[in-house]
Amino acid sequence: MRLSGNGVVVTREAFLEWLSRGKTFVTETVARRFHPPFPSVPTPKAVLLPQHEALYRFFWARRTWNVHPLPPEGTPILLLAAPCEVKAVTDVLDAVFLGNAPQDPYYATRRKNLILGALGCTFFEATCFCTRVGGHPLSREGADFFALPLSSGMYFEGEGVSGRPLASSEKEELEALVADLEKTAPPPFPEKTPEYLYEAFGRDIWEDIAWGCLNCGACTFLCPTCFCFDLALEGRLRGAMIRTWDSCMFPKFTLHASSHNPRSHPMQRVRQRILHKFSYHPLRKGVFGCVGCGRCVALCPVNWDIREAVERVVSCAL
Amino acid sequence: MPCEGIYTPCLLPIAEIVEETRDIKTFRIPRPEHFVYRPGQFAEIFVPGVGEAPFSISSSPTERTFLEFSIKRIGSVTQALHRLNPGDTVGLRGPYGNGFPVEELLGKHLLFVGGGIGLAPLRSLVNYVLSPEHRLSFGDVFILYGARTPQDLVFRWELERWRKREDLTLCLTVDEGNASWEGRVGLVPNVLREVFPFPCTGWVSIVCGPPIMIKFTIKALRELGFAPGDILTTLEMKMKCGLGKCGRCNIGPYYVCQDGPVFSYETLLEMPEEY
Repeated sequence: MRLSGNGVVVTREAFLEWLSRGKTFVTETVARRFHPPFPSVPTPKAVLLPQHEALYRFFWARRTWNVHPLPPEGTPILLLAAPCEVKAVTDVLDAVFLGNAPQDPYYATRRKNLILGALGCTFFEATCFCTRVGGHPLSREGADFFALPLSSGMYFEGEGVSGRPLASSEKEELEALVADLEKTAPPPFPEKTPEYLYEAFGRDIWEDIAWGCLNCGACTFLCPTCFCFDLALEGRLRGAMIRTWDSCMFPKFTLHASSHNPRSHPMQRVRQRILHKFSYHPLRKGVFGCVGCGRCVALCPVNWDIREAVERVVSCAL
Repeated sequence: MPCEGIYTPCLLPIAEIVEETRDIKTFRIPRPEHFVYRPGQFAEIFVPGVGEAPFSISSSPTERTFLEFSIKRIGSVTQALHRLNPGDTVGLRGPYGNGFPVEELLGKHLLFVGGGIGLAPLRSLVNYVLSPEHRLSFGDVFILYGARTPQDLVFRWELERWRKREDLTLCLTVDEGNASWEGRVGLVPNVLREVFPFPCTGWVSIVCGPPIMIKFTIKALRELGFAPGDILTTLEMKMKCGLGKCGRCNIGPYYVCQDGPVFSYETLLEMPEEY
């Protein structure tokens, strides 16, 4: 799973040129750390599940209703992402849209056309916690290729790039990096975290944990794994069925037509967000529904921290 | 019309509309050949220019030529549906959900307890069980159905048909009777305690109705000796895709659209109480 050490070294320029052979994007995280000359997308989710897309058209013509499916477009895309963002695709998005029959044809077509590369991380940002949820900054699992900036160039694992073998100084640099990351890695959440959280559902702690959260939903839009969507009709006599991102933070998300709402209270929605990622998804799929990218922590308008929330629930259970 | 893709509805003309009560209508549409379903499953109905919503199928799969949906006027899609006439077009996609575990019910005595529009999904299974090809595979059938007033009882002609059969017991109750009402008056759970005379060995109960009725009916069934695994119910949640993807119909780790809508009380006991 971790890098093999059998890769090659190429120059940064050669690597960038190899990347630029098609329609190439990088994620915001990669753009911020690596400054490549490619346009950025928030996370791979934006490529695989666009924020807004039409699934079919409908129209009234010749005294009858018509429906025309809009088939998915499959433009080949090359995307360089952080290892946690690759994990978001393989552990969560693939599981929902491909692993759970029937497959979503829109997602499946885009996924088939996506070359997904991982750019290894050389340090933990203050908001990073991939190692708490089963990830690693140097993981190449699920990625089509792996790259890592070294002081002398780019370390590369994968096909299609010819470079030279690692010099001994570069091997030492890699080893030192691995050792340093080992020392600074945030420790994993306890193995029984999904069970602890599940059992804590009815406890008296959630109001306190949810306190401060505005229910603005920013975290769910920034999240690389949040996949919930809405289907909404646009137009009366002609229009389309639109799929847009939705959020469990919004009160209307679960509002029945009868006006009954099982998650009418903000606390219930915060609890749902935490439990979905750290209990429900792991209990069903065996992996956390959070990859620890820390974007929700870094960009929350009130500094609400999901790591602290999970820790507090777990500490109540222990 | 095209039925390609998992989100695109198949357009069909409404064949017939039956006015059940002042706010419930039953819509009959032709059954497409590819539409193979089991009792208790549901489908998404699309109203062009308005939207889409999930409804349980109230007809039995033994009816080869048509599908029926009994729909209460309550939100934007149902209001639009109630304004439609025979011949108008609706869209259909499905069937979705697990449906009733028909194989596990073979040889059992069946106690149906319905409240209000909650009889709709039960009707699919009742008529499946009562059909000539399946009737001998099941034991006794007992149907208890309640509504607020006599005017709120749905499937009235169907209730008449059931009443005339000798191989089932039908018991009707209303919360509030009127001068011409000859049936029972009382809440479903209370009536259940009075009218269900058998030891519950070999019986399975299937319950559907408003959440509060389900809750108290389960309590009554437990008192009568039904094991949690022998109580089945069907749940409702807000849904969009029906395919386990849009993420809103979960109760804990269960998606009502795929793991449900039919759950045993045994499973309900494991779930967080958030429905």
